[in-house]
Amino acid sequence: MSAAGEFARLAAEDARAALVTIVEGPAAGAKLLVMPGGGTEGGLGDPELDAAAAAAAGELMWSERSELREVKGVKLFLDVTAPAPRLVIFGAVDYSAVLCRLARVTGWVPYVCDPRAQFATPERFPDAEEVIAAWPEPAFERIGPIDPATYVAVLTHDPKLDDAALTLALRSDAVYVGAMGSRRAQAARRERLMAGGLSEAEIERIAAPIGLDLGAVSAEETALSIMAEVVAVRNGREGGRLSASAGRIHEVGA
Amino acid sequence: MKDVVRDVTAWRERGDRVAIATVVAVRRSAPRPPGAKMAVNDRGEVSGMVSGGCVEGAVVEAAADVLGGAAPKLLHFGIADSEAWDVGLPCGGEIDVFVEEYAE
Repeated sequence: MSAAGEFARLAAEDARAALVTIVEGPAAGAKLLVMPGGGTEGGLGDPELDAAAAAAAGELMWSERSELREVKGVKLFLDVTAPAPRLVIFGAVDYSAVLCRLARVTGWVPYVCDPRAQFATPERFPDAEEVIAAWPEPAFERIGPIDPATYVAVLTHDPKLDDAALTLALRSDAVYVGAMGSRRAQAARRERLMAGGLSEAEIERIAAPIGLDLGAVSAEETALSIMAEVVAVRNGREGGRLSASAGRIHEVGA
Repeated sequence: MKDVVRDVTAWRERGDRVAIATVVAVRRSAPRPPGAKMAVNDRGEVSGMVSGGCVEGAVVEAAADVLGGAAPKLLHFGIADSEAWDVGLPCGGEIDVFVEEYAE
């Protein structure tokens, strides 16, 4: 199968890959398929160009954006296909059910994890891909590798569960780790995590209090504020009103 | 690729030849992002979109050329184009579209 055929197969399977194509000049149409592990298929007709293109594609495939790039003077299109991003919600609380619903609507795949089996039931979270009644370590193992396209929201309201989930999430490749709680709760959490051996830099990664500043009160509004924050992070934005900004509405190439 | 992969696979299974047009660059405001695709088979059937409908006609013509044996093409559409009145983007953006034959 050609690199293009393999890319189409991977896209249909909801896998992650990048297809690099020369789009200008006599070699237009030449293709190199790049896999997440660095494996490649096909070629652009120059091993050095292949290596440079594979390196660029290997990074870009995690940003889930396709892009035109000039590499070694050759115009290349880096086409990325990626599975829906995963939102791992730790805490089988009321907010989590609404958050699962909003995640589904916006095209994300939500998971709910909580060792408290009486709360962590599929009936309470009909929109979750899976509800896992387990502690963070076995739960994360079940979900599969926490990769840079995984977002983690910690909402248990129980310090020992929160801390266990945060400790694992902060040392994983998760691109976002948010935690529910007031500023005071966050200060106390910081102390506990430091005492537990996490570094300043690891703790700095926590988005807490979680969510965008919507003035949210109800569970629905709070879930919206969390979903809005993860979407903004995924798109490399701070959040805020478009009417108050002069920048682009969409992030686009060139 | 996900937007057209089902139709492309079905077309190939019944023996059609297929051209794929991909948005490779976007300047200013444009309806579809880089990576958006439109597929055209040798019966003239179309799947997916590369803009909001403003340049699809021109892309179908380019796809027919490619299926007729022409080399892959890099097309440019936008208000700066002399063709603006025919195939401009009403939103004021510009897009580059790469058209090639799909080979498994």
